[in-house]
Amino acid sequence: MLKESGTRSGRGTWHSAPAERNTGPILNVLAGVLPTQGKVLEIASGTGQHVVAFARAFPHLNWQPSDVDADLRTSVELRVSEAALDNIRPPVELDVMRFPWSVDSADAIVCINMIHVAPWPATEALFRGAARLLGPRGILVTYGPYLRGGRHTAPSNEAFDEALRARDVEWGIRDIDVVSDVARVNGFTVEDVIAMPANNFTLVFRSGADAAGADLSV
Amino acid sequence: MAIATARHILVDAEDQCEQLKQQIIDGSDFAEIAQEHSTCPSGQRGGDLGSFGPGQMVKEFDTVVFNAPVNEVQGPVRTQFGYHLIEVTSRED
Repeated sequence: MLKESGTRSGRGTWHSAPAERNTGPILNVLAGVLPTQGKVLEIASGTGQHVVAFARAFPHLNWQPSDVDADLRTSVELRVSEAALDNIRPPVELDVMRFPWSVDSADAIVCINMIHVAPWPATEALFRGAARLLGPRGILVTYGPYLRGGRHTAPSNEAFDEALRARDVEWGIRDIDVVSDVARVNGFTVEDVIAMPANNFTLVFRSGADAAGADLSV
Repeated sequence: MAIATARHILVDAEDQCEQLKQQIIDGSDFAEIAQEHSTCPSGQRGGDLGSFGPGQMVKEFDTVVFNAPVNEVQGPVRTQFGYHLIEVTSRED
């Protein structure tokens, strides 16, 4: 989806205009929820615009970008290399649907605009995997469009949802309550639901003491 | 660069992992056991993980995939996700 709506430069970096616009608002939320030190894994890094901005804004945190798509990893790698920051690593291949993940630890996980452009089992795998990776009191932040109480929050989101499902029948905008249920099953508590510009939401989940032992069979 | 394909079965308990391994040794089908018992989403496709190169998986997993004999069930291998039975299905060094 990103590669259909974004643009690619001659040197191989992808650019997303929405990513440019939402970086600031997401940064403001992250500032209030991320730990003061440690490692943050970004899942579905996409163009790499976010992770570079985050690494610059939070120099006390070490950032690990990742993506399932090789072409997008190249984009992230170029941006990381150009940024020349010492708190961001080259991207790794990470498919949330393939356990074990390629990263063996993280204090926080950030996942922007993945849930609606992936089959529903990917969301279930995201929370199962995150529960395994994060210790107690770890943070998982997701951002994107969501339904609220079973309803779209804007006509534009409804049209977007239809376009997503036409593109891939397994994609679609998910309900915050349903996503939160999956989170709870995997030992997370829903710490915050924050309305963002352009009818998006940031969801903040905190892993519990028992998250690492959460029932993976659910 | 080396590249390998592998399939696996992931469960929470080591003893269950051992039992499933014995069932496979006794003739049960790996893919069917994966479908029935694996807590990895890959279980739905018989545990198939596709192909990957060295360093793309966590160390414990990587070591098996790039060293173990092909077509032989390995494990239990512990990662933070649980206990795995791993079968390397092909490898080009």
